[in-house]
Amino acid sequence: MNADPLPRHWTMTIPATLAGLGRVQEAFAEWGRRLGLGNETLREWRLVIEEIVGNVARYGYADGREGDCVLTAMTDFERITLIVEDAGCPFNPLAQEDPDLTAELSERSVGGLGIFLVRQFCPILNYERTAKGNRLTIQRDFSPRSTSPSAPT
Amino acid sequence: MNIETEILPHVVVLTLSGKLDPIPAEALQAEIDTHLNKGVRSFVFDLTNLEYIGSFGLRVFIVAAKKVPGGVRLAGLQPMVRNVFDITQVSTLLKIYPTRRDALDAAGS
Repeated sequence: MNADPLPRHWTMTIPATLAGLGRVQEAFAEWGRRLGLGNETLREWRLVIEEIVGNVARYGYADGREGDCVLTAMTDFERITLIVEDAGCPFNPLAQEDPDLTAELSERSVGGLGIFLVRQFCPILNYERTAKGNRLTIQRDFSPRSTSPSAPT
Repeated sequence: MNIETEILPHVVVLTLSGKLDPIPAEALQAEIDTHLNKGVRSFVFDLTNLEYIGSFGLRVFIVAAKKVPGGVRLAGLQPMVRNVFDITQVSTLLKIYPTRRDALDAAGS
């Protein structure tokens, strides 16, 4: 039966651990493929989910508690919005300063690149601390092909 | 992700294939550390078959470059991987070559 309309909504709950990350990335990619997203866009979303869920695993539940991470995505076929929620400690990834990309190797920080990359791929980002915990909303164009800078050859 | 290791006289070649996700990134870091502890100071990473890298993976290359400045060479970067290195300007910290052969020639092996 192929008469089902394309699914505009997708949601998944996983343990907020790096071990749970692969499963949610694959499930999101499957949703994205059904919607017709290109491979490059799907790899960029994979990176965004790695960074955001990775942050929740590292900082959101840094006090040793175990908890879940709930991802909810929706689209109007012009934009995709992904909301990531957790019940962990307050952590606003958008409060981080951008890394100094021009620093010499010895001065170069190994952290901060992930959220910097997320900003490049998803220009609309919003953080809220709600009664339930952290909520990060991420939005980018639906574009089936990437609009990010192409690689030099 | 799969890591293949080849130990040549003056350089260790690590061929990565698949997706460099956070957990494989830890395995790659451990593999690099094993060779660093044996005194290896020159690495070539053949990324021809690497289809994805995120910030966890990127960090491994920055850490390696800090430990052996000038001794980290990358080859065969695919567009998505190259894009991540370029956007973050990590590409300016490392030596990048079109092919594994070019990287090996530059490493003197």
